[in-house]
Amino acid sequence: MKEKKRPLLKKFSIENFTSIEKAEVVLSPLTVFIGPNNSGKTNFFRALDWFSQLVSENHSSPFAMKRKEEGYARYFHNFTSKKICLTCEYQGINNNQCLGLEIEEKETKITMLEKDGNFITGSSSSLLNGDATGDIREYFHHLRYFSLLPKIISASNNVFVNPEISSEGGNVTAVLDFLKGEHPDTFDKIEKELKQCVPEVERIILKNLATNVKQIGIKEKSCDKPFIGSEISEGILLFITLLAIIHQPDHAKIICLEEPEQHIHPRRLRSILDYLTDLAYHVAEPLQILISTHSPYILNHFKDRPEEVVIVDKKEGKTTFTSLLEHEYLLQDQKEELSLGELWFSGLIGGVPKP
Amino acid sequence: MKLEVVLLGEGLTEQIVMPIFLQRCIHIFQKNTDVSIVDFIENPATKDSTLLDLLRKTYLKYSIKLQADILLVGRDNDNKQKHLPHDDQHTKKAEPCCFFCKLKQEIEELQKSNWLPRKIPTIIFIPVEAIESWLLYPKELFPENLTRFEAKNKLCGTLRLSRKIIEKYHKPLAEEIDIQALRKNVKSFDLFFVQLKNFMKQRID
Repeated sequence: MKEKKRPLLKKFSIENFTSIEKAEVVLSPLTVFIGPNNSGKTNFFRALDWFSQLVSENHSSPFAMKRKEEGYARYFHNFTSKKICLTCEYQGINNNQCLGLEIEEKETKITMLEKDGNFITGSSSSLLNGDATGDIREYFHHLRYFSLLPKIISASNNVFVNPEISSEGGNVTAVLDFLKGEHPDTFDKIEKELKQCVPEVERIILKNLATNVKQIGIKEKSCDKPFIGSEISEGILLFITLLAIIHQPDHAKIICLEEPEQHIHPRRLRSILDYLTDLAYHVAEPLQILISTHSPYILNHFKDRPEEVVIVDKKEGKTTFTSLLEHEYLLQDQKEELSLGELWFSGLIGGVPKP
Repeated sequence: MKLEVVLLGEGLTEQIVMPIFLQRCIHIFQKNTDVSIVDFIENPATKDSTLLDLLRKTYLKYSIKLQADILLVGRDNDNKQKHLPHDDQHTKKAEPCCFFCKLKQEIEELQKSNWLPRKIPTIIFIPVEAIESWLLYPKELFPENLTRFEAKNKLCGTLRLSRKIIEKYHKPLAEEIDIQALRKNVKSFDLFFVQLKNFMKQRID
């Protein structure tokens, strides 16, 4: 069956951005980044987020970089390079586009290369105001980065119209409350999906604390008393947040998610991964999902999908990215006893802390 | 001269102790050769089959993609009731009688295979019960008779090892122990030494 064409960020290239001197990363609908701490996984997400901010005026960026306030200099590789280049190859439904940014201290130039090979270079305002970059800008406008913190998720929220979940998981209660009032079908869907993944949950509670202030809770089947805020298991909070991110109004099209395994039992990671796989491949409007992980259990699920795994390392202070496809000869060994997670742990495919 | 070594071992103790033993033994044969550990492959499991699989994959990587002068592979002979201490009089049987023989057989098969563009000289280290048995002589006259719990307790007074403990107790002993006396009294160390001696002899020749 021929796969239906879908919007997709196919390749992202970075030059001179923080720890990344030069890199070209091929992306899949679901891509997992593995590597030791401080190797540069978050820097990749940060570069993507910045690109999104510059081409689409995506104001929900957690890494918002305002030139007037802090300058760009700290983002230049080794603080010495003169120019940062970010280039994205995008597969649209109607055409493919290549959009590049050159960022200097004083100005930002945008280069657009269309499939026919023509370059158009200009200032950000002249190019981005044209229609040609509309699709790609629309796609990047919906990029969201998350590094979720249970304490932020469980805190009480002011409820308001059209809330959006922050990169650390703030406003989850507000989003759920908004959906319950304005889009009850969507709220029911979230509750249903939560119960599928965590069967002991009976329903989601949004407890009134004061006028327009609410806090998230859950009611479990086996317990009369609901669990409110920090009483809820951190794993369940993460599940609920993930569901709310996916279903919130004006929802994301590209999600960068740091370490979804946090607070989740290894066996339950299967549910998270199944859900992310469905979202990336098996829904009417699939999302593009990029995750970082330190979990060998998560990696084990990618054994037959090496094209979806990117190994991140740091060599002499510079971040490198390698596709697991480059190590396919190790995966094809017929006598193999090692799981992919164990192979990663051993260091044979890289992505481990230096001895 | 630099000797680039890939070390395939169980964990931190081997990672700290084995390069010291290797360097000291090599200096007996060639003073100007310095050991450089280019890669440490950590065995994530204790199954024999896992180590054999890792060994094959390490061979693949260092025969096809990268280069190294020597591969050092080993693990503790955790249960001497199940794994006999290797005896160099062991006759080669269809089914290897100890883990040393099993590894040796696997290495010989890999070395014979035509599809590997480079053969990496390989040295096996299989301390009986734990590598602590290589560090206890002369404090303990027959360290290979101890269980790994006894050996660790005698060496550092705890089973709860950490980098701090290994650097405090294991590292200085590895740096100072009398290599020739160790060879006479600890058979599994002598097996390691003899392989290294043969390797160095070929290298020097």
